[in-house]
Amino acid sequence: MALLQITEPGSPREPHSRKLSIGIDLGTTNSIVAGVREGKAFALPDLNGNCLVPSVVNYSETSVLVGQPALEKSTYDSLNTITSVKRLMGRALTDSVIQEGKLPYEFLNESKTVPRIKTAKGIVTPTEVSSEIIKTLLERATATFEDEVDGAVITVPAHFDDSQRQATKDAAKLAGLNVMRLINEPTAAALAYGLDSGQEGSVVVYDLGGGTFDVSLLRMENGLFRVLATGGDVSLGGDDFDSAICQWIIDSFEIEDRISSDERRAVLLEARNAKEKLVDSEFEELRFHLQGVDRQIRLTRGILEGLCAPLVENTLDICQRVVNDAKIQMKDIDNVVLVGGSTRSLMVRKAAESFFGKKPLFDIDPEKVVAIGAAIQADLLIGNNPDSEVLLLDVLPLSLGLEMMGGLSEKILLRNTPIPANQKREFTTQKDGQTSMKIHVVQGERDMASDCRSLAEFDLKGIPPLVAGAARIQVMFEVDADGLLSVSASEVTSSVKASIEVKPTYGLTEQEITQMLASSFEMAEKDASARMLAEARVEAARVVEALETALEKDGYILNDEVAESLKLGVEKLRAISRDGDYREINAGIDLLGKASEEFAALRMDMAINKALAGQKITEIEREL
Amino acid sequence: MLFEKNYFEIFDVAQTYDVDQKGLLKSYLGLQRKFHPDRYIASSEAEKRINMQWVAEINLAFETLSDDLQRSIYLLKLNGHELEENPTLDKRILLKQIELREDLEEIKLDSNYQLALKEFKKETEKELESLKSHLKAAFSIGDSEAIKNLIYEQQFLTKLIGEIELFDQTPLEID
Repeated sequence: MALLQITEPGSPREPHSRKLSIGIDLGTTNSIVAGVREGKAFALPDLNGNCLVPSVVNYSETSVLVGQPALEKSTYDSLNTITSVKRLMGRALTDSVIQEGKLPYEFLNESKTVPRIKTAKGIVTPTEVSSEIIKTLLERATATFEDEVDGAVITVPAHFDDSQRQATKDAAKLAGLNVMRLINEPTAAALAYGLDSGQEGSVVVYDLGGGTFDVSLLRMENGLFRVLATGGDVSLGGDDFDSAICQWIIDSFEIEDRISSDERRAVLLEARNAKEKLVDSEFEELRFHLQGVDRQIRLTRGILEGLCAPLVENTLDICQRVVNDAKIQMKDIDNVVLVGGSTRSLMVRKAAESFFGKKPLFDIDPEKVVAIGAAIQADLLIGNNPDSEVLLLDVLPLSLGLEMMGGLSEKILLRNTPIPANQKREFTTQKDGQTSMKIHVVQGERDMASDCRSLAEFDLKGIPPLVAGAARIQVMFEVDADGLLSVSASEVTSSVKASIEVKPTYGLTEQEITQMLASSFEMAEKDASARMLAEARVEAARVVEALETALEKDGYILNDEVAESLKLGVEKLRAISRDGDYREINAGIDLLGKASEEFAALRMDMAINKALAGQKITEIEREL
Repeated sequence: MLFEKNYFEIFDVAQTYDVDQKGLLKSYLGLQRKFHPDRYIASSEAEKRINMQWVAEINLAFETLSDDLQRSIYLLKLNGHELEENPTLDKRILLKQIELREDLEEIKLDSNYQLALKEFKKETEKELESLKSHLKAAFSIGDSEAIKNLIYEQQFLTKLIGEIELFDQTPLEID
C-alpha cells in the first residue's frame, strides 16, 4: 500500500514535487544569488536584508572570508584580499589587465599562463577565488530554502571569451554546483524585464557593471528572446571610473612613486564612495593622509564627469557597432534597458538617453535584475514550468578563427552567429611528405592572429605523407549553448583524428580541477572519492532514467536485437552503479552513451519529421 | 536521416533565390522552440549531442538562407555549380571595382569624410540591391555563368560595405 506523504504546514516544499534551482550573478564588485518561490523570482538577502555580497575574498592562515568581512580587511591586508577577481578569470599572467592593473597581489612568476596568487593560506588561482564566492552564495541559498540546490544558471558578460567562460564553469564545479547553463548578463536582464512587462519589440540592454560593459540588441516576441547582436568590453566598467578618480587624487599629491598598496586601496575605496555619493550631491569633500601629507580635496560632479567622459564615450561607440551589426535602424528600437550598478550614475543615464533617443527603463533594481533573470531561466531549465513559452536564443560574442600561414587569422565562425553553431573548413599540406600540422585556435576580430586571444594550440599528427596539397585536413568548430568551443581536426582520406576541448592555453586542466576538488574543504582523498562516487551515481541514474523513458516511448522503432541490447545495457549500468567505484560507473555511462547514439539519432530524426509535418499542417490550415 | 535535407527543405520554404523571408523566420523560430538545447536539458548525453548538432545545422541553414550573398552561393551549389577561387572577371566589372575602391580611398583621406562616406555607402547599397533583381532573373532561367558573375560582383560590393563600416567605427580593440 502506498503511504501518503505528510508535510508540515509551512514547510519549504513538498518532497520531490519541485526542484530547487538558483540564478547567480557573479559580478566584478558584487555578487547576487536569486531564487524562485511561488512563481516569483527574488534576490536572496542575508540576515540584515542585504542582497549584495561584495565579490571579495580574504585569505588568512586559518580561514577564508568572503563578502563584507573580507572587504573590511582589504585596506590593511591588501596582499591577501582579492577583489575584482572576475577581471582575472581566464586570463594569463602576461595579459595587460594584470601587468598594468597595479594589482597589490604577489603573483607566482613561474606560471606564465594561469595567474597564481601567493596568499597567507597558500597559492590560489582566480578560479578558486571565484569558487569561494560561489560557495558563499550557495550556502545562502541552502539556508534560505532549507534544501539542497539541484541546479543553477550562472551569468557571464556577453563579451566573455571562451577561456573566461570555461574558467567560470570550472569555478562552479569546484564549488560543487551543478551548472545547467551559462547565460549572458544582458540576456538575463532582458528576460527579467520582458516577463515583468510583457514587452514585445526590439530592446537594447546597456549593461555597465563594476568591471565589464555589455550591450545586446534583442528581439522579443511571444516569449522568445532572440539576440540579434552583442558587443562589449570585458575591461571597462565602474572600476575604471574609480581608478580614474583615484589616479586624479594621487596625482594631486605628487607622490606616485612612493604610495603603498594599502594606501592606494584606501584611496580607491574613498574614490568609489565619493562617486556613489555624487549621484545625489553636487560635490564631496575628501580628506586624505598619504605618506605623511595631509590634504583636503573637493571632488565636484563636473570633475567626475570630466574624468569619466572618455569611458562613457567608449561605451557609445560600442553601442553604435551593435546597432550596425543588428542591421537595424535606431528608430526601430522600442526600449532601452539599463543594467549594472554603474548605470546609477546620472551621466551614464543621460548619455544612453541622448544616444538612443529614448528614455531608458530601470524599474527593476539594476544591480539585481541579472540575478533575477538567471533565477527565472534556472527555474525553467530545471523543469518547474513545463508549459512555458520562454526561450533564449543567444549568439557568439567574438569571432573564432585559425591562424594561417603568415600569421593571419582566418575567421571560421563570425561574431553574432546564433549558438549552438558548427562550422568546418578544409585545409591542405604545404610541403611534400608533411605528416603533421599545427592548429592554432584564436578568438577576436583583429586580422592578425597575434592580436587575437589565443585559445588553444595542438598538432594533428599522422597525416599520410603525400605530395603538397594532396592531403585534406578538415577542422571542425563546435560551439555549444553555453558558448563553449570544442575543436577537432581530421585527415579526410585516412581519417586520422585529433580533437580537443578548447581549454589548455589559459585554463586549468581537468586534472588540476580534480586535484583542487580533492583538496578543497580540506577533504581527504577518501572523502573526495566518496563525493565523486555520489556524483557518478546521480549521473548514472539520470542516464538510466532518460534511456528507459525513451525506450518505453519510442523503442518500437528499433529492431528487437538492438532494443534488447540497450535494455541489457541499462541493467548493466544499474548494477555497476550499485557495486562499482566512480571510475567504473563513469566508464559504464560512456559505454551506454555510445551504444545508444544510433537510437538517439533515430529519435531525433523522428521528432524532426514530425515537426516538419506539423508545420505543413498548420500551413494548410492557414490556407484553408 | 538527419542531415539529408537541404536548407530550403529544413524550413519548408520554396527553393528560390527570392526566398520567403517571413516564412523562413517563422519556421526557424518554430523549430527553435521545439529543438533548442534548453528543451533537452534532461535528455541523455547521446541525445544532447545529436540535438546540438541538429540545432547547429538549423542555425547554419537559417544564417545561410537569410543572407543574400550566402544564399546565392548555396543555391548555385544546389544547382550543381561552384564558384572559382580566382575567377577571370569581365573587364568592365573589373574597371568598375577599381574605380569604386579608388573612390573609397579618396573619401578616407578627407578629414571631413563622414558625409561623403555615408553617401558612398548608400550608393553601394543601392547597387547591391539592384544586383538582386538581376540574380533573381538569372536564377529563374538557370543561367549559371551569369549567376556566377553576378555573385562575384555581389561578393565585392558586400566586402566594400564591410570596409566602409569598419572605417566608420572606432577600431575594434581586443584587450
